[in-house]
Amino acid sequence: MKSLLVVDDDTSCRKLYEAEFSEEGYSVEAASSGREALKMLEDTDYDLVILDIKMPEMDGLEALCEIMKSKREVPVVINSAYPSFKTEFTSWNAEAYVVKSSNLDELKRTVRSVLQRRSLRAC
Amino acid sequence: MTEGKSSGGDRIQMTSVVKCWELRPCGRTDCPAHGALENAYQTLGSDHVALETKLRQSSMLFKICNVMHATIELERILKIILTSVTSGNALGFNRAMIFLVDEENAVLEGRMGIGPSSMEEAARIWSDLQASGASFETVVKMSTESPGGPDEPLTQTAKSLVFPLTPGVDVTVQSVLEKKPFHVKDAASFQGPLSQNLRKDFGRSEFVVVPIMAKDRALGALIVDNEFSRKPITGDEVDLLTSLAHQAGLALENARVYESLKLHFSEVSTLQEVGKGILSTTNLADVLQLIARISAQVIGASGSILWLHDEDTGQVIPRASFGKGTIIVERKLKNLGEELARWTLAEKAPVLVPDTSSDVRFSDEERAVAASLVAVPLTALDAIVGVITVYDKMARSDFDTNVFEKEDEQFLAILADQAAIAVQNARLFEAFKEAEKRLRETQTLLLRTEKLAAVGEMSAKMAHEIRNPLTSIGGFARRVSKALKANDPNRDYLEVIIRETDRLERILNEQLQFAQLSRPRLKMEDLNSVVEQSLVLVSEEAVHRKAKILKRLSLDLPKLLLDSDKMKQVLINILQNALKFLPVGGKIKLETKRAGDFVHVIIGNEGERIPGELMDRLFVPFFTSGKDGTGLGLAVAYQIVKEHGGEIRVKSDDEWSTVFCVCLPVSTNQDRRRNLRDRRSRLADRRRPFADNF
Repeated sequence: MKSLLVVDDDTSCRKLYEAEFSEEGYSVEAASSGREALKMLEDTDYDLVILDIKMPEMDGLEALCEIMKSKREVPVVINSAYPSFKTEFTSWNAEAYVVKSSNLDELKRTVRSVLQRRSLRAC
Repeated sequence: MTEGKSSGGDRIQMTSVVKCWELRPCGRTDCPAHGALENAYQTLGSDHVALETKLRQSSMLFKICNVMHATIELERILKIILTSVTSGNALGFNRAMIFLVDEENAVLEGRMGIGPSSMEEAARIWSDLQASGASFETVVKMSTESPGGPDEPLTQTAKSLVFPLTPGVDVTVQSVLEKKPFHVKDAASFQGPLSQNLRKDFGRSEFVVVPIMAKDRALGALIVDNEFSRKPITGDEVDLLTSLAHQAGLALENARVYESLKLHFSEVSTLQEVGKGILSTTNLADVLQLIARISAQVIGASGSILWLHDEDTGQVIPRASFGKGTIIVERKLKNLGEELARWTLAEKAPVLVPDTSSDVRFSDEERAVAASLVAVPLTALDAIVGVITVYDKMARSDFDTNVFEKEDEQFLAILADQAAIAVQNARLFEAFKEAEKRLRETQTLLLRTEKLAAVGEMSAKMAHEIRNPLTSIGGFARRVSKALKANDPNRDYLEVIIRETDRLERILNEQLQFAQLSRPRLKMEDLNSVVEQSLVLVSEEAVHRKAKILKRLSLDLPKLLLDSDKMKQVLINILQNALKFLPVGGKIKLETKRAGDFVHVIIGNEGERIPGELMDRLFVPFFTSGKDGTGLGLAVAYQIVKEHGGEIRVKSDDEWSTVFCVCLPVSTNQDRRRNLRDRRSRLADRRRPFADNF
């Protein structure tokens, strides 16, 4: 079972993602800020991180920068309310950028595809 | 009786005549009074006849003068003179011809003639006129109203006779120069000058030439004869003819003065009209064209050119032309055009060339186009704004010349003063219009920028504050909906939540797109492929509207520098707009084609038309048609296309209610190199991790 870390300051969103991705067969844990996520990443190896950008304390990009420093191998899918950053994400070393939507189909497809790519690369 | 006649006045003389008529000769030869009375009776009778003749002639001259002075048209006056001279009711000569002096060319030229060409014709005319019993006035009226004047054989003859105004050439010239009549009783033995031409047609026997005088100036000559009747010409008739010629001279002079006054009046009226016309016209091109046309027309030129002077470059540029002026501009006849304008600028004063044939500055080709010309500078507030050049004068009346004179130059200078003011006014007005246009553009830009900034700020907040709850509301609704049985009545309510959440998310996306107007990242892309991808993204909605998409993509489009994501957004927004107005089952056309240095993507739809006044506002942020939407979709499209160096046009035509045309420039190699440099510099920026963009 693949493990996901959902990082989002919005409780409802975290709850939704946990429910939806669990139902998809993933092991899902959640963090409410970048700082909390970094702590959890120190303790656990997740297969993929779903990362919001705009968060209190430490925002998603700062967290991403730290993740890249310490755990470069974990793929990060950015899930943001801001579609405007989508064109910039390739320079951030994130795997994908999905704009937040109540329809989680695209996010689910992206997560699946990133994990498949990683599996292929590992082989 | 003789005593009474010589010493008394008319009244006494007439009284004596009455008394004499009361006396009758007794008839007796031996009566001493009989012979004297009979002699007196005969003398009195012949005096009476002479007096009666004089009275008749005076009355006739009076009638002729009345008719002659009642008109001011040259041709008509000439006809009246000739009719008076030849009419049986008047002077009764067989034939007559008029010559007029052309002072400019110093010649005496035949202008008109009248009279039969054979004895038979003469007899017929006389019998016709006698039978008709027409009065002199009727004959004059018939003669002046008949259109045949110029076709008269004698008119043809007259027109072929042109004599230089030098002594010894011809008796007609002699009459003009000496200002006296010539009564030639026998042309064959005439010792004075008689040209062969005149002798051939006219001076075969007896004839009289009298000068046509106006005060002390000879305007021409009148020649008469009795070619067919052979009736001798008396001294009285010569006197009468001389008197008539004097009256004719006055009538001609009056006509000339009238023409001249009419011309001046027309010039003044024209100036007034010109003033009104050109000062009330504010469009510079219209003003220039009007000035060019009027300049030529008022002084009777066959063409004109209006040149404007560019102070920065020193060039003179033809901005309007009329008649022959257009030919000169088209043929680039330098000395008739640009050089002439330059001479005028250099002189800062009018240039008058009465005769190009004697001016070495003009080539033969130029001389063939214009024989005379005049140019005047357009001066406003001490600055020369341009030059008017006019070509080839056409005489405006019988008294006008066909060469430009000082008067024409002066008149044109007055016109030029008004024209210069009009040009300055029109230029100021155009500058004002341009400034107003720029102000409007700036205002629109400001409005757009302000709205943009407001949208950006608002969107940033909305993105976080609204999208998160929307995501969870819609997401959970989907979850619950999936968990419910297919026939659960609550499923419909959840569908409402899901649909409304989708709509709100769409609105949010449009707002954020507008806020996200970053510079496009340009790459060489295949536009048709971008079009196809955009079509796929709206296909669900197109199917829902049962739209018929008529797709025609050009196969030979060049690759373009595009940000394909942004361009997709443009096409999706326009397609969505088209679908929004499309009736169910309606048609949408989607075309790409090359148009010069641009590639066009044309999207047209059937359905409701957008009123003309709203067309311009379609791209203004938050402008909505009242249909579902934020009013940002087309504003976003407009902004993106502008950033690509292109533009969006919109119109309606007979077939399509709305047609959008996205015009994108075809990239040059230079653009590509520039774009490569930009990309390198952006990549360098990106290497600095996580710039403070947020």
